[in-house]
Amino acid sequence: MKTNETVVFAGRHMNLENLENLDPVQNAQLYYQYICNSIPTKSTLKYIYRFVKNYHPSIFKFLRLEDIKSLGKTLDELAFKENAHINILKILKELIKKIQTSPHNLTFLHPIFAKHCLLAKTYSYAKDILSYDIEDFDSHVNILDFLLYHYYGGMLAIGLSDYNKALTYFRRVISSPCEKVASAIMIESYKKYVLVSILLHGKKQQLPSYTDDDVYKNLSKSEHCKKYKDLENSFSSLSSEMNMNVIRIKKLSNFKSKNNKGLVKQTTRAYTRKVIQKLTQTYVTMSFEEIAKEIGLEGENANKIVERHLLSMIENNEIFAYINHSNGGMVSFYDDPERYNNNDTMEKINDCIKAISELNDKVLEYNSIINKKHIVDATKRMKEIKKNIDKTVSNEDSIEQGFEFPGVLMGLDEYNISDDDNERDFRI
Amino acid sequence: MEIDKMNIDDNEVHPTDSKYKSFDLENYAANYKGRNRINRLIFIANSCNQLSVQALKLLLKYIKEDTYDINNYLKYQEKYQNITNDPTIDIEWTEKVKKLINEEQKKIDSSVTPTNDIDLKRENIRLLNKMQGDLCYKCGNIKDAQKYYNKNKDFSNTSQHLIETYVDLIKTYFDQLDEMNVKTYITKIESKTSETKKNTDLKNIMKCYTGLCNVRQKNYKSAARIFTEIDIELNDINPEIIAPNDIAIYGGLCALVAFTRSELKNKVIENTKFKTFLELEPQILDLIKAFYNSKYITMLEILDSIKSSLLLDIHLKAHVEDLYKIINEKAFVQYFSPFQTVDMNKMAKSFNMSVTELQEKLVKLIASNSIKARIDSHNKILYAKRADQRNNLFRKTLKLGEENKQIINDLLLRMKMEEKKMIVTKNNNENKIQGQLHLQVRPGNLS
Repeated sequence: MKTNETVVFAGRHMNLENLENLDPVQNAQLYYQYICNSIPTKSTLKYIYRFVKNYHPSIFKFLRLEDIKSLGKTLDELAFKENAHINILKILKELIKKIQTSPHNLTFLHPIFAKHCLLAKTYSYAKDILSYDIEDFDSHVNILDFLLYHYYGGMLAIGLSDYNKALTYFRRVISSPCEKVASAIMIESYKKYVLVSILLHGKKQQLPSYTDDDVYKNLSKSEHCKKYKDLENSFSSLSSEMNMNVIRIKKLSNFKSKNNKGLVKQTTRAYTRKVIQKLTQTYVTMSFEEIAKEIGLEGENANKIVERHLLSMIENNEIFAYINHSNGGMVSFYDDPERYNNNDTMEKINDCIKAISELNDKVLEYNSIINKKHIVDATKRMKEIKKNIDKTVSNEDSIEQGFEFPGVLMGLDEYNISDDDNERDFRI
Repeated sequence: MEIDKMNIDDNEVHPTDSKYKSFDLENYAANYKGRNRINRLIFIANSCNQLSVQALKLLLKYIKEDTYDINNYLKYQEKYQNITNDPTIDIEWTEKVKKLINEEQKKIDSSVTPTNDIDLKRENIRLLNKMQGDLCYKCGNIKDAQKYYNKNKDFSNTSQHLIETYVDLIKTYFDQLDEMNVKTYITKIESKTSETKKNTDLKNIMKCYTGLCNVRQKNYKSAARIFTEIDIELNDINPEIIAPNDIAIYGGLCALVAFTRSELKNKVIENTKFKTFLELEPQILDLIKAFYNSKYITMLEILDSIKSSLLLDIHLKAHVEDLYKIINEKAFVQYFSPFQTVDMNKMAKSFNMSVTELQEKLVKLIASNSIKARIDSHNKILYAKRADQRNNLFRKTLKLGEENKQIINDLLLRMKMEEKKMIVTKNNNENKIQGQLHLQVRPGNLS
């Protein structure tokens, strides 16, 4: 032990290049202490990588997760200091894979990794991590990690154009359990959630029913959210009316946002295309001018812009159409050629059924391992809530009775007493 | 087709005034009785300038004939006076009525017989309340009448008395146009099946009230059903609630709106019972026949011609636009139903409108999925779209599967979070600040 300590002490002054001579497997402990206690720089990151590459929790038992946590922090700081976001990603990814028990497990390194992926703008590097949705976490992870990872993950998913995933991630952040407060991350996520839901579905998506009331309260309180709320409300349902759509597109293109400028732009474009897509259900042929009118375009370039939209939509299989340049530009739409009669469909359905049956197993498994005390507590809480509701209901009855039988004062008295009770309950 | 441009809320100016020349108000008023007649006349006097003098005149006459309603008499007398400069207040009548009211009040007061029997006492109170309520009702003091009737709920011993009370209450609520309460009491009465079975009169009264409430609440389908299935002889209808003509109008219009073509044939055109009512309003019958036989121009003409009188109806006025819109749309849908392709020029001709107007309407109908078709806006042809159920099914199945997967996953995760106490609390307030710092991170090129 004593030798170790000296090395550790010396490490602060020593160059990490000395590690060249150490074998990361044989002298793992020493190697690690060396890393931990030195201040890594961009150029010495490769040694850390060498260590991480060879690291495995089952072999290096002495290395506690706390140590890795502090390593993560060091890397985080380094990346900011030396603008080395891209350099640390490899290490973090390796580490994440090493310490997680399953690819669906959230680790404390996830948020750091996602953050630096964003900063380095290497969205695709996060693809394999993002492809596994989080399903579980261990005791080393706190709620902040959870929120941050999903927030960053959502942003990465936008970068990767996987809007469905982005929506899911933001929704997870917003619907996280809360107690009296809501996190700023939730509020930021809500903003993005609004935009992505319009982008993806063309209308606002309801938040899940289990979202905490406190979140709603904080959202309506927040000044910054107001314009997003307005925006959401003007997209409360799908519309096929021309005027409505033109107003909506205008609203989107005039929407000012500091943090979500790019996303707003994407949303505007996506909504315009949604409108065009919707037109295919109503029309068989249309001239460019008519389409331009439907999406609120005017001027000389209108036809060109419409054509550009149409071309790229046809390319992406969003619509199925022919463009005819005689008569000054006409489009004929035809139906989606997908007949759902090939093996692909079969496979997709099978996959889905399989996934759902797996989920069913998971639910059952979870049912058997769930902490009994938690259930007892939760049921108690539910009962209390129910009791409160019952009380209020019976109070309302007694009010009515009180008015009907002015002579019978019992009802009114009862009402007064239980009213106090109720208030006390709520205060607690 | 000017229907769309009418202003429903505007009570002062009635744009189609010229059409009321032929409107026979006296005949109209003769169809009704009691409070119903008075309410309807008040409504007409207030909503139609051209008829208001005539309506007021009749109104004053009927107030004097049927009620002791001095307040309303004076109020409308003044109004009448303002318009016609005819200062004849019937003081004789008011004095007489005041005397009569006093007399009746005395009679009520004196009929209190002291007794120790509790049941008798309750019965006494009930009778008293009933009398008092009736008097108030006759004086036009409907709110007070309602109070008395309301008290009776507690003093009615037999179910028959209870029903009587409920009927009184329904009457007062209906005069105040409070459909919600009318409906609650109707259900209360209907729950007493033994009584309603015996008493067909009561059953019919309830039916009339339910139908009227349904019309007012835009519940056209049930209204249509009630009115077309109604089983009363013409003479048995209580004109204090509804006139037989109204049954024809309400029933016919609602049926047109809510029934399918085959239902129209079975339940309206071939319904002999309902036909006796429809014969009172031949225009409605013609209207339904025109729709059934796809003679849309005739239909639109009839609609146009009866609109002015429908607007005078206290219950229908607010819904006329709505009903007309639905009838119009139904006509479009029915017109298109047998075709694979339709030349929009021809279609526009048979609806007497321009092609652009037609296209706009069609776009709306397609969007609301009432018509399954697509427009060739270049050649102005409407193509029927045969929806491929199989494709839809597959698409929906795949979508639903994905959604369900997502929901289950999210819920599982959230439950785990709750179990392990991963909860945003005040304690990690410091996190909040930290969080805000983290939020500074944003990718710049998400464009």
